[in-house]
Amino acid sequence: MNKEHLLAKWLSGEITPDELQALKQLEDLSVYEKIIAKTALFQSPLYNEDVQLESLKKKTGLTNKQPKIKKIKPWKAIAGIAATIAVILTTVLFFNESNTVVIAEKGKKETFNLPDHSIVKLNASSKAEYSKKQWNKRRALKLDGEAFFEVAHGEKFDVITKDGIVSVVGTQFNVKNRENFYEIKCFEGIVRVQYNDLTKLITKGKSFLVINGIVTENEDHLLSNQPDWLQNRSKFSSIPYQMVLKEFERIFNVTISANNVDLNYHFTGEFNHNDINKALKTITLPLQLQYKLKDDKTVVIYAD
Amino acid sequence: MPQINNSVCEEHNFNRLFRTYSKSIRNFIFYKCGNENEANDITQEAFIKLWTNCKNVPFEKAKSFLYTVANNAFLNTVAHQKVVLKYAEKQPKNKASNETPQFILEEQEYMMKLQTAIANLTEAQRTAFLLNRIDGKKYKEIAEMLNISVKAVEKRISGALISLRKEIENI
Repeated sequence: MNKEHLLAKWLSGEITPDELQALKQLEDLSVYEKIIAKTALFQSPLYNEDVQLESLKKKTGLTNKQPKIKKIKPWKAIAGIAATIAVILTTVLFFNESNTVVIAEKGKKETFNLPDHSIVKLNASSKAEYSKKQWNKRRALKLDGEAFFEVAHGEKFDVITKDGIVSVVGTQFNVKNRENFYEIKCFEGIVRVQYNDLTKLITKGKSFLVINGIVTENEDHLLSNQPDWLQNRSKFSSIPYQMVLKEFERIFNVTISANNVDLNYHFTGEFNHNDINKALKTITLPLQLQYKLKDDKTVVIYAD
Repeated sequence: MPQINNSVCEEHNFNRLFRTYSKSIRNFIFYKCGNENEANDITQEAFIKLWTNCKNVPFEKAKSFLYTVANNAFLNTVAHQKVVLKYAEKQPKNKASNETPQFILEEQEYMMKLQTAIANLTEAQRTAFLLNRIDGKKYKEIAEMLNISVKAVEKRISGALISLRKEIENI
C-alpha cells in the first residue's frame, strides 16, 4: 500500500481502520485536514443554467419555439402580483383534483417517491400534496412543514409553501416552513427562492432564512450532504428558543409548557432524536433551566 | 414513467442534457483555464456541436461527447490564465466572535497561500482535485470525465494534496 493510494482513500472516506493506522505512521493528517477544510471555502464562479441556456438559444436561433424558461423581470411589483396569481392558479389547477397526500405525524418521519423517482423525506408533523396525474405536465408539490428533496434530473420542479415558492432543476435541498419560519438549504446545485417579491438564487452550501419576516442569507458551508434531521439531530444557530421548543414537540410528539423562561432567547445548539431525556438535557442545561417529563407526553421546562 | 423518444434532437431532451451537465462541464473547463467567460463559451460551443450532430449522438453517449468536445476546445485555445478561485469571507453575523484579530489575520493569510498553491498545481492535478473537493464528484465520475482510470484519479488527487502541503509550508 503506497502513501498516495492511502491518502486518496482517506480523502474519499473509504479507508479501513488498519490502513488509517498505517497512514498515520507516514503522515501528519492534521495538516491535510486543514487544507481540505479550507479548500471547501473556495467556490467556482456562479453559474445559472437557465441564463446560459437562454443565451445559447438566442445566439444560435436553435429553436423557434419560445423557451420554457421564465425570465426574472426587474419590475418587482408586477413580479409580486404575478407570483401571487401563480400561487392561486397552481393551487386551483393542480391541487384540487384527486391529489396524493403524504403526512408524517408528530414524532414520525416519512420517505416517499414521486412519479419521476425524485425522493422526498418528510420531517415530523409535515404534509406534502401533489397530483400524480398532472406530474408529467408540471412537477409541483405543496408542502406544509419540513422536507428534504432529492430531485431527479430534468425539467423544473417547484415546491410551494405558504411563504414562498422554491424552483429547482435536478438538485438536493431542504425546505422548512413552520410558523413565522421559512428556511431553504441547498445541498447540491442551485435553487431559486421566491419570497414575497424577492427572488434569490441559492447555491450549494448556502441557505436562505426568514424568521418573523426578517430575511438572512447564510454561507453555511454544509459539511454534510444531508440536513441534520435526517441524521436524527436538530441543529440550531441563533434561533428563538420558542421555535426550538416547537421543533422538539414535533420530533418527540410531546407538549411542552415553559414557566419563567425567556422564549425569545436565541439558542445555539442541537438535540438528538434518539433519547428524549438526553435531548431535554441538551436544550435546558446550557440555559440553566430544569425540566420534568411526565408520562412521556408532557414536559415542563422551568427556571429555578 | 413511459419511455418516450429520447433523441437528442428533441428540444426537451436537449434542455435536460443542458441542465444536467452544463455546470459540471463549465467548472471542468474553468478549473483548467481559469477564465470564466472562456469556460462558459466553451461549454456553449460543446452544446451547439451536440445540437448540430444530434442525429448521430445517442442520448446515452451525449455526456462523453460533450466532455470530449469541450476538452478539445480547451486544448485549442491558446491563452490560459492562472486559476484563481474566490472564497467566501467568514461572515461575522451578529454573533459574538471569540476569535482574536491575530487569528483572523492568520486565517486570511492561509487562504491566500492556499489560493496561490492551487493556482500553481499542474492542470491535471488541479482539475481532478477541485472537481472532487468543490463539485463533490466521486473518483469514478472524474475518471469518466477525464477518460482515465480511477487509480489515475487517486494519484492526481493525492498528488495535489502533497503539492499543496509542500507549497503552503514553504511560503
